[in-house]
Amino acid sequence: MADLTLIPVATTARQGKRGGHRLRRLGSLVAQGVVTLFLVSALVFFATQALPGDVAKMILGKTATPDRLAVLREQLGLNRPLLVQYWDWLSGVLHGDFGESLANHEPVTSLIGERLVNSLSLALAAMLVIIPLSLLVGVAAATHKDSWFDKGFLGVSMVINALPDFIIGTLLIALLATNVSHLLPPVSIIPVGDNPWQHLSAMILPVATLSISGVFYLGRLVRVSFIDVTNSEYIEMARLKGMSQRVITFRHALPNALAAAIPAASLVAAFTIGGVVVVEYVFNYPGIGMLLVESLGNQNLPVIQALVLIVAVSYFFFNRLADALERR
Amino acid sequence: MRVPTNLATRYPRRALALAAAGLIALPMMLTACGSDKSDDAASSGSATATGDAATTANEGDGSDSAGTTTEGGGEGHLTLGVIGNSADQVDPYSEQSSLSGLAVWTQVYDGLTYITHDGGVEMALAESFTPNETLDVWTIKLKAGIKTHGGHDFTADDVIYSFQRMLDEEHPYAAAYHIAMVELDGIKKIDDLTVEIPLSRPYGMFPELMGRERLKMTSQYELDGNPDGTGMFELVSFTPGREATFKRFEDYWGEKPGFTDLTIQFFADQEAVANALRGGQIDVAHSVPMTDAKAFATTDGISLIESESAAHLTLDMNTAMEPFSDDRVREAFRLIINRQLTVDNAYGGYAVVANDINGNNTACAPPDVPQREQDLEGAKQLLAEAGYDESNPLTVELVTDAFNPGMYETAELFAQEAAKIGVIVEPRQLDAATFLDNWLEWQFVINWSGSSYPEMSSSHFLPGGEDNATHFDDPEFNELHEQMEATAVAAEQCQYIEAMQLIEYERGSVIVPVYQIDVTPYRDRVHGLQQDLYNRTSFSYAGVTVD
Repeated sequence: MADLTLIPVATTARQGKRGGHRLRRLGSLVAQGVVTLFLVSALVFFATQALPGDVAKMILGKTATPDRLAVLREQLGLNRPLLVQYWDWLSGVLHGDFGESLANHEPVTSLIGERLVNSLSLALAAMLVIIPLSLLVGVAAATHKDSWFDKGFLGVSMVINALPDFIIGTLLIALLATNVSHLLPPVSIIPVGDNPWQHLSAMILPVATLSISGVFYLGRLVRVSFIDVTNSEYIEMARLKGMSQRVITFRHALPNALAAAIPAASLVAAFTIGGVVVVEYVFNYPGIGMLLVESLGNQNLPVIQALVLIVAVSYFFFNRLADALERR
Repeated sequence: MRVPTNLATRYPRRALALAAAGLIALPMMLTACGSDKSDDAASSGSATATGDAATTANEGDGSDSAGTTTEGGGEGHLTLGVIGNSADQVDPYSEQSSLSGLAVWTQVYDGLTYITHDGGVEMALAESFTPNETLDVWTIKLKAGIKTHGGHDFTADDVIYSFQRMLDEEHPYAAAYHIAMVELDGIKKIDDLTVEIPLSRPYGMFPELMGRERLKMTSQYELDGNPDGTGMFELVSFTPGREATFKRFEDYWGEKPGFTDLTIQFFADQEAVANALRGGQIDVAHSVPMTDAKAFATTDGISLIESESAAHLTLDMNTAMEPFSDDRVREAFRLIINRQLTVDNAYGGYAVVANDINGNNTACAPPDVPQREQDLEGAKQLLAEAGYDESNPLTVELVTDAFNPGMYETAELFAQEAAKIGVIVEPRQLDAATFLDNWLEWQFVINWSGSSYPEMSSSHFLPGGEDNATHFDDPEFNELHEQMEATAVAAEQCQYIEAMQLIEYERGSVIVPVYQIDVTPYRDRVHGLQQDLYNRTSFSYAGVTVD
C-alpha cells in the first residue's frame, strides 16, 4: 500500500520536473524568438534605410527642386533622426500599424492585406501539391532504386533543380498559355476583392511552377531518407521475420523516413514563401512578391520594411518548426 | 470628333506641319469645339495657341446646349493593359508621375484645353481664352452646362479651386512647376462661367499650357481624395498596382466612348502585358516589347497602330563639365553615332532617323539643314583638335536608367561606334534611385523628351530646367524662348522655334539620334483607336467602340 502511494508521488515529481523543464524551454524559445525578431526588425529597418538613393528624390523624380524636396521630406518625416524613425516604426508594427505608403499615403496594411492572402493561398496550394507528390515520387524512386524510373527521376531532378523558377514559369507560359497552346491564362488576373481559390485557372501555372521545383527537391530528400531507412537493421529484421513488403514499407519504413523528411518540408515551405516573389512577378500574380518588387523599384520604404519583416518572420517560424519536428 | 486619323496614312503630321505655316492670319482666339475641329488649322497646327480678342467663340459646329457634341453610346466592356504601380494615384496633381496614373486620371478629368492627337490645341472645358494686350492677363470663358460626376455644374469656382490646389505651397505638386507664372492671389471670378487669371509675365501660350496632362481641372466638391471630375468615365474602383474600373459618364459634355465599362488592368512589365493580350485577357496593350510588336503584326485577331511620337531619347552632354564644355567634342560625338544602325538594332525598326533637333513635338516646319550622317574621320579630327588622340584617349561613362526600351541598346551601339576611333564610352545601367540621386550631375547621360516644344525647350534647355542635364545656357536661345512665350501669334512662335532648333543643331548639347514610333497592339473587337503624337492611343476612347 505504501508502495502504491509512493509511486504516484514519484511520478508526479518527475512530471513536475518535466513540466518545469518544458516551461523553461518554451520560455527560452519565446525569449530567443523575441530577441531574434527584434534584431530582424532592426536589420530590416536600417538595411532598407541604407538603400542607395533618396526617397524624396524618387518620389518627385526630375522635378525635385530643393524647395519641393524640403517640403516633401518634412511631410514624410524623413528629417527626423533615424533612431526616432525606427522607434516610431517599431511601435506602430507592435500595434499592427505598418505606416503609410510614401507615394500615395495608402495604409501599408491595406496595401498588403489582400495580397498577403493571395500569396499565402499560392504557397499553401503549392505545398498541398508538393508534399504528397514528393512523397509519392520519392518513395517510388526509392523502392525501385536503380530502375529506369529512379534514374530518370534523378536525372530530371538535377536539371529542374538547376533551373531558376522564372525559366520554368516562362517555359510553362509558352507551352500552355501562348505559343504552343492556349489551355491556361498566361497572366494570373484575380479581380480585387476576390479570393484566389475562386480563380483556380489563374493559379494553376504559378502553383505548377512552384511545385515542379519543390517536388523534385523534396522528392530527392524523401528518396534518400527512405533508402537509408530501408537499409537499417530493424527493417532487415522485419524482413527476416517474414513481414510483407507492403507492411514493411507503410508501417515501418515510411513513418521513419517521414521523420527525416518533414523538417525538410518545413524548409521547403519557407523557400516556397520566398519563391513566390519570383513566380508572382512572372505571372503578374497579385501577391506580396510582386508588391515587394514594385516597392523596391520606387523605394517605398514602409512597404518594403513590412514585407521583408513578414518574409523574415515566416522563415523564422518555419525554421523553428523544422527544429522542433527534428527533435521529436 | 477630334482629329480623324487615316490609318492608311502612316504619318499625317507632316502635312499638318505645312498647314501651320498658314496660321499667321488666324484670329487671336481659340474657339470652342469639342466637336469636329480637324479642319480648323488652329487646332491641327502648331502646338501653340493663337487668339484674337476680337473674335468670339463657339462658332457653328453642331454643338448642343453645352456647346458640345455628345454622340457616342453603345454597350460593351474594354480592358486596357498597362504597366502600373502600387504607388499610383488618381490625383493629376500628385507628386509622383506615372503613365498608369495618367491613364487613370485622363478618364476622370478634363483640362481647360486639350492637346489633340496631332499636337494641336483645342478647347475642352473652356469655351475661349482671351488675353489682354500684354498677354499677362487671360480671361477664360467656360462652356455652359458641363456637369461633374457628382452632378454639380462645372463653374469658375471649380477653376479657382483647381488653381488653388495646384499651387498649394503645403504640397510639392508637380503641377505647380508648370504654372509658376500664375498669380494665385489675383485670380478673379467674373461670373459663374468666367474667370480671370493674371500672370507674372507675358505668356502667349497659356491655352497650350493648360492642355498639359498634369493641369486637369478638379471640382470643389471632391472630398477626401474622392474624385469628382468631368471626364468621360466615372471611377468605380481603384486599387493601385492592380486594377481600376470605370463606367461611362452619361452626362459627359464631349464625344462619348462607344462602350459602357472600362477596366484598366495593371501589370508588372511589358512582357506580362504582351502575354495578357496574346491570351485574350486584355483588349488593348499600352506598350509591348519590340520583339512582341513584330510578332503581333502577323498574329490573327490582333492589329497594330503605329504612331509617330513626340517622345524620344536624347544623349545629353554636360556642358558644365569636361570634355563636353568644348564645342568640338560635342560636335565630334554627334558625328560618331550611326543613326540608321540605332533605328535597326536598338529599336527593331520602330523609329526614324532624327537630326539632333527636338523637332517631332511641334507642327512648325523644321529648319532646312542637311541630315547629319556618321563621319568617324571627321569626329576623330575634331577630337584631335580638342586634344584627344591615341596618346590621350577620351574616356567617358554613358549612364542610363534604361527606363524606356532602346535606351541601353543605344548606349551600347554608341560605345561600339566610338571604339572604332579610339574613344572609350562605357555604358552603365543604373537603378532609378541611383540615377535620380545624381540627376543633373552626370557627365554623359541618356535623357528623355516627350512633351511639346515649348514645354520641352524650357525644361531641357533653359537654366534651371528640371531636365537640363546638359546645363545648356545659351543667351540667344534663352532670348528666343522668351520671345516665343511672349507672343500669341502661331507663325511668330514657329519662327522662334525654328531659330531655337537651328541653335540645337549647330551648337546644341544633346544628340537626338532617332524619333521612336509608338506601337499600340489591340484585339480586333476594338474599333476607332487613333494615332497619337503623345502616346495616348491606348487610353483615348472618344468614339471608340467594341464588338
